[in-house]
Amino acid sequence: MEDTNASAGESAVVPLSAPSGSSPASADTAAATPAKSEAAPEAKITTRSLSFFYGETEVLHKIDLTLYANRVTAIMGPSGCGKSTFLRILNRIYELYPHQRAEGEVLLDGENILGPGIDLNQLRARVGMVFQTPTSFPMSIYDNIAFGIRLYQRLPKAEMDERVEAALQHAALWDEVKDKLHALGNRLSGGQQQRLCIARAIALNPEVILFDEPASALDPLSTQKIEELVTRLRQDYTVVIVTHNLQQAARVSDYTALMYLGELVEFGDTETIFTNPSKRQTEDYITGRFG
Amino acid sequence: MLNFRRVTALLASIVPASLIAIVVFLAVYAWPAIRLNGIAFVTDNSWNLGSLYANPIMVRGQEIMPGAHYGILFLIVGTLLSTAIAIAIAVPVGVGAALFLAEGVPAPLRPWLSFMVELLAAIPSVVYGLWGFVVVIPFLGHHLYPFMARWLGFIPFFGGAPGSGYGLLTSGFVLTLMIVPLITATLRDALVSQPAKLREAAVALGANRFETLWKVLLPGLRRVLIGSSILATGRALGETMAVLMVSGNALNYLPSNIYTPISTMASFIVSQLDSALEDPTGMAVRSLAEVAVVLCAISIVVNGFARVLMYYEGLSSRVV
Repeated sequence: MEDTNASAGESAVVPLSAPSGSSPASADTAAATPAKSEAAPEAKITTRSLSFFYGETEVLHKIDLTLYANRVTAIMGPSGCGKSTFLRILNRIYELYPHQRAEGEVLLDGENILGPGIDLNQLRARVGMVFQTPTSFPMSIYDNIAFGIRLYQRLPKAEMDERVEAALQHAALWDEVKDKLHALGNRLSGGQQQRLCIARAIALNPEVILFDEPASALDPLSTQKIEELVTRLRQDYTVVIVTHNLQQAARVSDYTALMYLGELVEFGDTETIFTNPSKRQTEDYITGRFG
Repeated sequence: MLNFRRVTALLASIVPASLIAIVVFLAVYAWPAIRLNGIAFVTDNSWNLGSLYANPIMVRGQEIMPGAHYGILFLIVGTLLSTAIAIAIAVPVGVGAALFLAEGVPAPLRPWLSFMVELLAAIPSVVYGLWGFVVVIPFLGHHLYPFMARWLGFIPFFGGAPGSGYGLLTSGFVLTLMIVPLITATLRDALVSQPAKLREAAVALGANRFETLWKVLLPGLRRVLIGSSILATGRALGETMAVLMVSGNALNYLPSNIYTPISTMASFIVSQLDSALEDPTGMAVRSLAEVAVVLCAISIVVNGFARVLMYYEGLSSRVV
């Protein structure tokens, strides 16, 4: 964790940052990243010739992409382009299913996580994931958070209480649930449950958080809260967010990758992608001519 | 007029109507016996038809044979104990089997093994009984029970005479075998139909397969487990033929250890009906009907208790 925090201080660059919009989060973001230095952000995850197969069908074709520490990278593309599949490689969750396999390399801090001898549980502690629909467990709000921590550590109650509170604070849910920590998690609203899931991921002190269309099942207000949260999380984490919502990508991300039919079409900083894309396909997508 | 509402209402009312009709009939038919036997019926260990060739006498306004007395405490105890043993073994075994079928078995084998478990539930109970009679009892009576009585005798009710193989524990075993498939099949289906996202979410936190199953998937299924256990309990309480063939058909005494022969209410009704029909006053048959009333009452109480349990579980573990 320390190196992540340290790098947050050093490479506090916002190449173009989330567009200066009405989002209340932009104030936080600006405050968190005051320096306008030109230092290049640090690569956290690099994929090399990453291909993916469902059985014999190749659905990702040699993706080379770099995800930067303390940045939000949005992965956009029409349905079926492979953006969620790409995300699911980064914590190797696809391995739940027997006929799925990845080829190529995914370097997390220089180490190939697709290689042999990787401890999957440790990998998933470092790379957290938040899903499209809220997936709170059938247990109390408190236990939803503590569940993940208990997988790795035995903590005295006082310390566990602190960890749970810190995670809920970080996920901007604490004030809403502090009086009912022992109520069932799935009694919360959809948006609250999604923030609970984010808190659950944060509680493990991960380095990377993957968001798989985290707001697509939520109402606009809850969506806004999630987006604010995502923007804020970049201070401490490498954030990757898959979305098919162009405005959302523009609002929350520093970098944007566009995928189409299992290929990476274009990658760049979000402002350039949205204002001055170099590929015709990108332009067509963001102007709504396809997708 | 014939419309959808009326037709469905008619069809739907058949079930509760027949339930009520059966209970009311039983209660009315058993009423003279209920008045004659009083509370002693459930507190005494003496089922005695009396002298069937003497002249009937009047007791408490009812005509009975002299010496007749009806007390079925031993049946109630036998029924509850054998069912309790069966549930105590079947729930962990059934849960384990369901987890194994849902997760542990290689995927291509799963449908076959699940099919076999369901087939186990489809075997007529008299077949279990015959198998128990021919195969299981000799083994238990000659090998396992003497061994258990000797080495586990320090546990209360495990020591003492190991008996012949017919008895309480054997009845419990046979009932276990009959109800495990009910629990396993229900729970397995529920496990398999849990949303994949829940599993993925747990795995994404670094939970292994067992932690995912045990701590995330299973707690959401407590209602299903309780529900299937109720069905299983109902089946065990009311099971007739299989128990009749392995229980030893004890009359008028309480078990002293787990090997003692017992009788259960359902099998007793079957085994005693013939001799009860010999009673010219009809009181023996009416008393058997009273056994049935008590059995129904116990089933209803057990079901009601489980419903209450489910209600409270429902408040604390409903999965959205």
